[in-house]
Amino acid sequence: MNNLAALSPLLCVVLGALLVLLLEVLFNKENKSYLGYVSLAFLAGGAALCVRSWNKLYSFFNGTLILDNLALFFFLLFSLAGAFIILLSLKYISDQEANHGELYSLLLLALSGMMIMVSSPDLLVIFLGLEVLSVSCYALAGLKRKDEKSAEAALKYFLLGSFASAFLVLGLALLYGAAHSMVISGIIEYFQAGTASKTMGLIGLGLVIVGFAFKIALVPFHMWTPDVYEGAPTPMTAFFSVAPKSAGFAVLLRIFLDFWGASAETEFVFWALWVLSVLTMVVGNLIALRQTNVKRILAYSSIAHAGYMLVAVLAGDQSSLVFYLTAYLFMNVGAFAALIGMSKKGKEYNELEDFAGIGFKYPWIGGTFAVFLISLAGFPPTAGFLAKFYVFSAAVRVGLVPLVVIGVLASLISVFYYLRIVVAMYMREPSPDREVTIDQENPALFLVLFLCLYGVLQLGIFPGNILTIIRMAVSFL
Amino acid sequence: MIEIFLVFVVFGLLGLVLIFMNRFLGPSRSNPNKEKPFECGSPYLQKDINPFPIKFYLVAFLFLLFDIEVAFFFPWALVFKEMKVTALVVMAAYLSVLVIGFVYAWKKGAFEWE
Amino acid sequence: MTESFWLIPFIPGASAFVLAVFGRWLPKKWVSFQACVSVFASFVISVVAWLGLLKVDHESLPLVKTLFTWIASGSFSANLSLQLDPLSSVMALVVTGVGFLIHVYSVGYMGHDKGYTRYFAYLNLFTFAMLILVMASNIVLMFVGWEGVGLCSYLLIGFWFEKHSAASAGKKAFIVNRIGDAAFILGIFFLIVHVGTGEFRAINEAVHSGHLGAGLVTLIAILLFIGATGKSAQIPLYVWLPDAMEGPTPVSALIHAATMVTAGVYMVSRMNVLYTLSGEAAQIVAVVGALTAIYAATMALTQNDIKRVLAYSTISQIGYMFIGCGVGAYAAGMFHLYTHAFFKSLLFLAAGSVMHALSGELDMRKMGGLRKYLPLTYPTFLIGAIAIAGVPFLSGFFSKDAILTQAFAHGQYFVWALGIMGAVLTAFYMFRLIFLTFHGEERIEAEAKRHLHESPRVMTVPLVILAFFSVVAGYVGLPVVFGEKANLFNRFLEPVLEPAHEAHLGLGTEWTLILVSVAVAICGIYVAYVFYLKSPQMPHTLVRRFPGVYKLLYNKYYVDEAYDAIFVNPTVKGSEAVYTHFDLKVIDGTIDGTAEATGLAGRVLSLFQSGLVKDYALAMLLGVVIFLGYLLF
Repeated sequence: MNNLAALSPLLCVVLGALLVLLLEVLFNKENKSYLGYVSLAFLAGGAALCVRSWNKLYSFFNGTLILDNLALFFFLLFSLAGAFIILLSLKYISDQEANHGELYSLLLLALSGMMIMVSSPDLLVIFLGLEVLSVSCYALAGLKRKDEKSAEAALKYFLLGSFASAFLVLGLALLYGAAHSMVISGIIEYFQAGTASKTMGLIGLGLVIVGFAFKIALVPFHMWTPDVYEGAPTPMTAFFSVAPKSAGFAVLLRIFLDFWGASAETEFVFWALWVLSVLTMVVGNLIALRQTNVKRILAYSSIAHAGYMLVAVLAGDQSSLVFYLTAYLFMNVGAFAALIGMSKKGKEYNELEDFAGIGFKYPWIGGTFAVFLISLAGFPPTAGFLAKFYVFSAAVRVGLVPLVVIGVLASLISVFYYLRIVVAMYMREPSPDREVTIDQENPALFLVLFLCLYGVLQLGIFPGNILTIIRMAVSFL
Repeated sequence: MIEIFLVFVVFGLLGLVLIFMNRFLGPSRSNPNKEKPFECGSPYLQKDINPFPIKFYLVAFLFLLFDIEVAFFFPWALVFKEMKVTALVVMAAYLSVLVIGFVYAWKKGAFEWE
Repeated sequence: MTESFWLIPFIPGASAFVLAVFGRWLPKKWVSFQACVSVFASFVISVVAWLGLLKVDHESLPLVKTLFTWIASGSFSANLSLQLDPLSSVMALVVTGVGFLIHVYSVGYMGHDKGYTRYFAYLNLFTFAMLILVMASNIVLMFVGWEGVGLCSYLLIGFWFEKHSAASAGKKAFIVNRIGDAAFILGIFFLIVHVGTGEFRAINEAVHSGHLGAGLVTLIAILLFIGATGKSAQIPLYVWLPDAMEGPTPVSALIHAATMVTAGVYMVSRMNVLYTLSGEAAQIVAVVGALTAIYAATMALTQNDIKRVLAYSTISQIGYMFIGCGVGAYAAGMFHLYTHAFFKSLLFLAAGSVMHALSGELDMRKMGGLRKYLPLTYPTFLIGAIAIAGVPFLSGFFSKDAILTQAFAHGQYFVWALGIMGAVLTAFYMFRLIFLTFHGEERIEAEAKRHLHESPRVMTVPLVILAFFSVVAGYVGLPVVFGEKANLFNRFLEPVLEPAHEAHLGLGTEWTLILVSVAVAICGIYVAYVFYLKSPQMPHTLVRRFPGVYKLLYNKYYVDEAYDAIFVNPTVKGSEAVYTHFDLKVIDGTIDGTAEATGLAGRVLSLFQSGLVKDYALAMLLGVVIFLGYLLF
């Protein structure tokens, strides 16, 4: 039962983090890129170990760490996200006064936290992973130490994050008091069994949901998102918008897998989440309409996308959720990569006005950005379309028609602000007083753009292979 | 269990009330003196607030960190005999992480006062 | 090598990709080389795969290669998978073989065009799509190929898009095809809903086991056939094909004669279980085929444009193929498809050579006596004409005879009679074409005459090869009178098209029918000879005697005008009315209102985003209170 192979991918990533930390202080070189390559190597090693464990169901620590296929799939997804972010950071950190090698170490630690989150059935261990992730993220948000906005972002993230963690811990305590178990299956059993009042358990679960809702930025626990996303260094924003969200949803997926319909109480939880989902989709998209900063637009868009993913949780359709997360990884990281591309040494262009005419001036960045935005808006033949299609059709199958109607209307609203950027890029003349010149000497960035473009199109046009893998992953549950 | 909920309601309302009461009830008469820090009647002794040197925070922080880590040795010592080699391996891993942290802090100059 | 048959479509596909993306930087010589070689490579693989197929026993057919799962939605999934069986093998051979020759011919024909690279990219893309169409193992992928060839056809008809007539001909082809496709895709939906998959094997099994009701089978068969009438230019959707002659002539040869337009025949043969089971649908196919065969032939009688005559002839010949399929003789239909590919592309290419010689002249009234100027084009054209007219011992004779014999044997005497009448007309208009173009007095304009020259070797060699095949291709499908086993073609196709559909007649009757067709062909040629060589004033006398009939035929029965009046104009007018009254007022008004309302909501909501941590924390706390309050009460 106990097999060290279960620990190996995690171990690989953590070792990489420690090694990078040591290298950073021991050599203290001005050019930090080599740390990025070391991190990539360890991520690749971890991914290779994951692939080796496919279909093996290894476990360690007496079943508190289980490598089922779903966990492995998420490991791979996170490694990919991590690799993208590392590639995006290589040049960015030296250009934007954030030249700290700790970045790579923190990134790997955050990844290890997420890996713990998705591979454990025990809520306490999940919490441990969440904290490893959160603390790393707080530091990552403040990476540009001299930048006021970045410091503000770190502080806000830290304060509100601890606030949310407090709720989560309180919820866990109550849940344990009620169910006498921290394991997800034990908690579900508790909700299924007997007729005794389950108020305490319900409050506990509610608080746990609130804690996770903060991490995945559901309305009304989303207030931190735009400020933090705007202030944090852009590659970190890309990371925050993709990775912790995926990990949070992976946990929700495990919690709510067999949950719906277990008892009368679950009905309450269902409708509570229903409301959260509607709020998230509607509010996220509505506020995004007003923004003029592209980074903030993407921040609100990521809130809205969390709403669509919650629809999949409510529909109880695991494969469509996982597919959505996969598609979202490619299109969102791609969009942020294009945004990062809009920079030169010491200057980032994030305002909508900066994008006027970019489509013709810098065709590669403009073109790929347009594709990612179109995918985020959910047009065929991109991944975003199929992702939304699978989620909504799964929801319709279980009869959540009103929710789907609201979701479709909300995504209609979203088309407006996504296309606004595209329109700016292709149909507006650049204003003469805003000279935008960007530094295109960034092969790693173009690699990421290309890979994301490939992912978006592959998933949008030939989703078959990935779907087969995803179905294998969720069928193990 | 309703109590727990009441706690949230009470403190939530309290927070609301405290934030907004000031704004609604209090008269807003501002003058330059009011805007100065340390509004306690007497003129202040120094021109600026003298902040505590940040080095103290750093030292306190590091002390807290390594001190608490050491506290984990106690439960380990209690079960050491039963767990045999596993205990050694686990502690070795734990210590090596700590040492790496220590090296990092050292090399970063966290222990240098000036 | 047989296993690598899945490469057949992808080689031209890859070449098309390279030409489309990097073509700008490639030298012209390399473009020609790559385009031709890619198709030739596919042809070689097709031949090898075909040889391998001969050794495979019937039980293990078809060979299927699944590349990957393409669509997965609920319980339905479609694979990107290709299959090789005798039917697709024949089609692949025709497409790559004839396609290769036409590619080579194009090197000469298009040599001075400024869109040279674009042309070959399209042509390769077409080959790719056509091969996907014929090798797909499920109907969904087949539809992708079906639409793909439609797209290429549109692009190539409108290749000279600076010319208004070419651009609008492309549009017309696309729109008319879309009407057929709408029915086709409905048929696909019905199949998928009731069979659960689009795989041909599963469809065959489901139909065989009687899972689908008779009414449903008929409905699906008819819907699919409507799609075929669009693609294969049958009544009532044939109107686009004559206009499609605006495209470059090699395109007309490849797409609008040899391959794409016969896709409908291939589709009906592929779905033969449906049509075998549903007598009504099969009867419709046969009657539509027969009516088209004679109807298009009558229109060909009066046209003066050399390519238009050939276009109507194509429509008519495809009608014959549908007669074969409709009476249950799918093998005969396929056989005619196969021989027709050779002689019709030969005729088109030869016509192209004539045009080339005359600096682009299409009007037969400005030709005549070209025989001595075009020493290679003339005999090859003549061979093509003899083959299509049904003169014995050339390929067209065997295939057309097979279809008519089968029609007769199945008791479809009406269809047979129409077919025979069509055959007279075919022989007549083909030789009218020959006599007007190559014989008689010279009516060539002086300007054109100065440039008059035989085409270069790169164009004439494909003509000779095609002429050779137009003569011999028929010998793989000899009629029963030469022995029970003489029809190799039918035996090869047996695993797909069951021989049970073939009816047999006594030897005496067979001989009689053969003699009738021969007599009919010779009669047609003789009348043409009398009209256009012996006494050229005869046609004018006839026109003067029956001016109504002539005008009706010359104006193609006014069908284009009727379609314009009945369908096109009301649609255009109606949509304009909808636009001005409904779109501008109701829809735009609603949308503007909604946009303003959502904008306002966004403004109100962003007021909450104050940027202060305490406000955020408070909002969170309120959220927790409401959330928990809801859970509890």
